[in-house]
Amino acid sequence: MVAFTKLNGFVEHLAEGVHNLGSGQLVVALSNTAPGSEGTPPTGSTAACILANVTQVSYTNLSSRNVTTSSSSQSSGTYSLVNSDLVLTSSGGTTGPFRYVYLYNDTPTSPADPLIGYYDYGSSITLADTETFTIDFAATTITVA
Amino acid sequence: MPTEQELVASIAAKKAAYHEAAPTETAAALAVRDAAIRADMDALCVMLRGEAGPCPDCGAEPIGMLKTPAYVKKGREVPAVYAVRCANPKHPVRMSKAGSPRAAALLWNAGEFEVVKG
Repeated sequence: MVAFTKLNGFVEHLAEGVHNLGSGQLVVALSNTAPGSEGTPPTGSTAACILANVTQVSYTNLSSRNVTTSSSSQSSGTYSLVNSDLVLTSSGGTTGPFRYVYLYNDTPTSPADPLIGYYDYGSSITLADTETFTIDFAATTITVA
Repeated sequence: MPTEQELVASIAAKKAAYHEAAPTETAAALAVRDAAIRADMDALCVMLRGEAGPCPDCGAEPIGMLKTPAYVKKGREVPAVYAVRCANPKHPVRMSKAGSPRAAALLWNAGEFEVVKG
């Protein structure tokens, strides 16, 4: 299981009302460019923490990238976001190569598509026709204490 | 009582409507939509946990979830995986996984967990 890296700008977006993680539609984006190597790295300022700064692969052959949120709740003051695993299927051709899988919120419009964080799979992956790729969202994608 | 599929479809439809309305509606109106989504989400969690008992760590009611949906890989169907787990992140997260909600609840009640975050 790959570790999830939170982007710094996410915490300011969270504190300033950009996200509703219970109702917003979370989506994954695939990239083969290291976050720190983007023209405007999303790892930098809060303003840069948006999908527009990510070099994405083509999704022509890929299944839906929408994430299902199973639970968005708090217990004793600690918030927990639980997502179902997402299975991506390439059909009709290949998808990729990609190495980085970003999680972003597709609902907000100001800023549009704010990023939450990303997984680094360590090396580039190409899905052949009919191949699947499962994103295991682990126990709890995000906790806020 | 709605079925699992009906609740999943309802959540998806309400999220799409929320998504559509988010740029223009007031916060109060969006809060109403949010409450409706959470009600469906909670109902689905309760339905999928079935008769699973309270969390042995904190006593909270666990949630039931579709951990991984069924999918087809190279022409063969890989069945869905359901899970029962506690959503409280303040203690090690125990999870019971099985091919049906009922089987996951039975494993949970039998104390057969995997610790997925310690």
